[in-house]
Amino acid sequence: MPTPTSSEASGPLAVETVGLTRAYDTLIAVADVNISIPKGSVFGLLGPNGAGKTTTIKMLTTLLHPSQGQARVAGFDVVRQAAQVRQYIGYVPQMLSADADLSGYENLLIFSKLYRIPAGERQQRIEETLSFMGLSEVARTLVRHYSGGMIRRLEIAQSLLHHPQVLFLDEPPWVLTRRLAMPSRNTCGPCGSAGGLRSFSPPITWRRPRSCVRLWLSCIKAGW
Amino acid sequence: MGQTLAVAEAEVRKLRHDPVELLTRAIQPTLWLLVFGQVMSQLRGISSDGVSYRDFLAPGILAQSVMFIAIFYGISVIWERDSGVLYKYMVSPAPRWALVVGKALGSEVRSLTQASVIWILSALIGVHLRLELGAILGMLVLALLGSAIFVTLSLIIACLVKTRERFMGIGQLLTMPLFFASNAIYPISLMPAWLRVVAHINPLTYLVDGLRTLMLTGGSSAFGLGLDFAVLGLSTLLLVVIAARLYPTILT
Ligand SMILES: Nc1ncnc2c1ncn2[C@@H]1O[C@H](COP(=O)(O)OP(=O)(O)OP(=O)(O)O)[C@@H](O)[C@H]1O
Ligand SMILES: [Mg+2]
Repeated sequence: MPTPTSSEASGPLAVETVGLTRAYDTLIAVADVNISIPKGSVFGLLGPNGAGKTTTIKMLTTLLHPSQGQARVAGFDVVRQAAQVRQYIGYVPQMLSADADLSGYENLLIFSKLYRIPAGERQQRIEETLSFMGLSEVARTLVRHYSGGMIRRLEIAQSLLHHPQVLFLDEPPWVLTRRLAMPSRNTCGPCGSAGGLRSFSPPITWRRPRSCVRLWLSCIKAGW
Repeated sequence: MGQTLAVAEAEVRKLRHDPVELLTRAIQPTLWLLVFGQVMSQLRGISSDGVSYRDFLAPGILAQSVMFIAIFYGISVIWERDSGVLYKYMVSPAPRWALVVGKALGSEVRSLTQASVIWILSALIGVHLRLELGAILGMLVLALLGSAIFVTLSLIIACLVKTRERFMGIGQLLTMPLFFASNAIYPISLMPAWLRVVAHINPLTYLVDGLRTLMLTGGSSAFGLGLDFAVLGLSTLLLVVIAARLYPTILT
């Protein structure tokens, strides 16, 4: 339900939605979602296939306009202040999304430039991120020759490069749970599918206690 | 600006990993120039504005191959959407116009390589080329503008049709009329009246016209270089604005 204190609370919240709704033609994929996620917490969005998790994340990452309702991410409105929102978020889509025709290093290099990481810091930032994700050895290999898990790790590296305040992982791979201290397997639910969201309070601390995982069991599809 | 270049850089790096594509793309215009050009110049029926038909054809084929490369470029964006790469670009803080212009610049690399290949080939078969630095630079700028127009047009089409199959259909539907309703392989004066009208609103015509002036020693412009550059520049600007607005819609 809409939080009455939404406007005052928007400061400390990483994500806040009020009546967030999205329809594809006649199909209401996401209906009246109200979430408040404080900074520095890990939040899992669970629901069966087709429940609207990806649609919700797309609205929060400015890729899709809400049909109704509002959402603020890192304090900015996802529609009116989309550019600012993009500056502060990292996103790993559900689909494999690294560029297969470039090497891992090149993928990161291009994005370090898109995110305007100063030229002097770039190399160090890229190397740091690559080694953090255990990809240093394959950095110069074309992504086309990566395994699925390696691509996933590269994508996470790509989404962390600019030190985002809020990180959205659509279907986080469970392989990575320990490395990123993501919600553990038991949050995965009966249908094996979850959208994940991790919010950092800077400076980023990589290991967060599992206790900060909050789950929001989704009944977000209309009439569901 | 840096973000625009980053998008273009990705394209260039991909080409560096797989340069074969650049060569295969040069085959078709080579055939046009050698086979079609040789045969048609035997005909002597075409009054080619005071230069030999072979000279007349070279800028036309250069423009045509730049256009062909550019107009099918949009499919790569549909690929990137389907593979998910594009989503990452769209959540980055780069302004949408920077993404569009970056894509166009990336494709310019292909176009310019193509243009150079055809220019060298023209020199080899004895086309009377202008060799002053100014003319050559002007020609390159014109080729860049021409390519930018058709790339952005192609991106717009990709955003509207959204699927690869439909895109290929529309692409094929567009290229031939654009090519034939232009002064690329015959002068406008030979056309029936209705086709002349089409040729005058076809940006390819202005590209070819400008190229004829800047490439050939005996070349003369029908519209004047000023108008050629103005038409191409303004069309590019307009199309970039439209493409930047439409770009996010390709995701849905
Ligand atoms: N582009 C689209 N056009 C029309 N309907 C769509 C589109 N994308 C999603 N939908 C529909 O919206 C609903 C929610 O889809 P969504 O992808 O958000 O689900 P999800 O919770 O992420 O599912 P999964 O666990 O399979 O990833 C589904 O019924 C789906 O069919
Ligand atoms: Mg999903």
